[in-house]
Amino acid sequence: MKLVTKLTILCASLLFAVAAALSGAMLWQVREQSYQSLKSRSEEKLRELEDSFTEALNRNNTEIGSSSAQKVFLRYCFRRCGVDGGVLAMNGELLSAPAQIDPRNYLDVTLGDGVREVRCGAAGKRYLILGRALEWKQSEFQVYLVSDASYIRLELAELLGRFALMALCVCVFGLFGVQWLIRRTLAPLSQLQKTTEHIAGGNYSERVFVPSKDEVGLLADNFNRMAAAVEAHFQALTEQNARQRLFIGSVTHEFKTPLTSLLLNVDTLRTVYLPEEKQQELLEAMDGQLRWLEQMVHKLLKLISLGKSAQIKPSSVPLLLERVGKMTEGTMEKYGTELKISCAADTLPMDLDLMCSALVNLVENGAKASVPGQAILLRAAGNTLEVTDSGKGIPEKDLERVTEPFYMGDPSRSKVKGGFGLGLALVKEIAAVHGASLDIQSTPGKGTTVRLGFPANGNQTVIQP
Amino acid sequence: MGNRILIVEDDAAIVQTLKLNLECSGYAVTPFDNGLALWDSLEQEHDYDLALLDMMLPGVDGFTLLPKLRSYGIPVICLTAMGDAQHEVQGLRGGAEDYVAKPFDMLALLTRMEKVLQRSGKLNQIYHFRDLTLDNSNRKLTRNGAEISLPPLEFDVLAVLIKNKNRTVSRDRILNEIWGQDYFGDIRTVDVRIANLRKKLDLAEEIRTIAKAGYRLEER
Repeated sequence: MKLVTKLTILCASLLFAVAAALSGAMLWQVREQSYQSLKSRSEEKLRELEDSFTEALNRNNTEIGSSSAQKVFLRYCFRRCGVDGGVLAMNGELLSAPAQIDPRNYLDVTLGDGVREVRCGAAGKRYLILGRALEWKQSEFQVYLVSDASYIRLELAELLGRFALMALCVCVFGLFGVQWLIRRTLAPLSQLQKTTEHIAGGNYSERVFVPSKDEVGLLADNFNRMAAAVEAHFQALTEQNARQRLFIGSVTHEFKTPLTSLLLNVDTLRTVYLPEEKQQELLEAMDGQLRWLEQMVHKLLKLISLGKSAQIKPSSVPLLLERVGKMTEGTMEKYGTELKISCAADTLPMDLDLMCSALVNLVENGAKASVPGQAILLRAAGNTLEVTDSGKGIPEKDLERVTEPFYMGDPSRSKVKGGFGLGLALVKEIAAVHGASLDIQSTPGKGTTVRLGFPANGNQTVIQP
Repeated sequence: MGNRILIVEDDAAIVQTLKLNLECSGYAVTPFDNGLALWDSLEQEHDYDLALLDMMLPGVDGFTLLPKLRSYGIPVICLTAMGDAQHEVQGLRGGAEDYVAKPFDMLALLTRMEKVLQRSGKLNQIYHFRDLTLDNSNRKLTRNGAEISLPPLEFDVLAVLIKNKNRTVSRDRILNEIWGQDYFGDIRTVDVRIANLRKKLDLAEEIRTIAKAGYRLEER
């Protein structure tokens, strides 16, 4: 059941109970008042009856001997008073009973009690009975006054009908009012519910808008925070997924070309009758392709498993630069370039082998971009390592993408200078493992500077790739 | 002289193998590793019977080259690593005759090339083997100018062998070439024809049986 329905039913029943209780109380009040006024009127009447009766008795001073005569006399005097509903009883015998009921069954009065009253019902009618005991010439007798109270009941019944109608009206209007109020109060909740439904359905960018500052508002705020976190994580995962797909796509593409020619070559060797030297030629080509594949697999493995094997500890920067210098001697010779090293740093927290491989990659990239005779600068200063060349530079449109695996500036991915397009991706991963920033600045035609910036305080956060 | 084939492909290894295979099959091959270079040279030299075109090229890519090649009436078979339907459709819409995704099978490529050449009416139907000349268009076999008469089936088997000179052809393939894919006849038929050919044409040495593979007409 919906919350609105529940609350509405609850409030409506409460309202109905209150209305019923109020009506009941008022009816009771009216009844009491009616009885009270009836009682005071009856008392008045009873007193008059008494007065006139005793007067009539006293007026007659004749001695009445026998008790039966006395009774007759009493009855005579009582009747003369002529009061409606008056009843006279003596020694358990009704002397005058014009009323429809016998009041002695309901009310018992003795001398000295004063006026007593009782309410009773008989034969579908209500009565108020007042009674009093009197004494005349040593004999006790009772005077009752029976008043018909049925009209009170009728009045009450009429009133009850009106009250019921009123209570019904109150309930019906109250129901709508209450429902409207509850709906208004719960509106933020239902909005929250709708939005959460959307979010649960996968639309993570949806937000709840609840302007109220109550618990629902707070809940909405918290919910928005949660949705934002979920969205951020989801987006990160989606991006990572897309990157991985791209990566796998690139890997597949890179493997497909050498595999095509390998398959062709094997097929050729298998089916075509070739002279010895042609066979040799093909075998050598296949050897080259296989080596290329093997190298690429090696590099890819390195790229993937980089973070797991890194051992980061304070290591000597001069030693690092010296090693890089030695490892790039061959490259420098090949491209006719010169490596200039300057060192103004002591130690940095790093994995020497990984950092060495990153710098070698950068220096080799510099050499490939340069023309013979140009110099490549390898500098360490404070928290930064820097490789600068004066080569052909990177076009601005490529700058953002050069660190993507397999990205090569030339769209044909021509392998004229022999590369996999993995170098800078590797450098980026190594930088990430060290918590270092990778900054590439380049001007086409003037050269490129790649800067690795280590965190200043040394408490770097290590990011697992 | 065989048909002139233009190869436009930037991967040197693939060019090498393709060239070797095509030359083996008697085609004259002109390779280009750069779209721009081809674009510039087409003006002077465009007498090619067929082009094998890689779609990803340095300089000018395959999709740009395609209409240019078509304008010179050169039929094109696209070769590319992008084996997805979209590129295939794009290539075929651009006027390519056929499409082969890498990695491809050499024999399949050769068959497709032959079909394309046949369609464009440029297929060279005259094959030579030593002193033998086989003309598939009028089904004539001559040795030093003297006509040799062969039963039709033997002629067909010889034609398959001579077309694929120096290349191993399986019995299945020979049957397929002659009767098409649906033939389920006895494979021995081929062996009988081969034995006859060896005897009649004195090719006992040249038609070699390659174990578990088939037959090969070798020209040493």
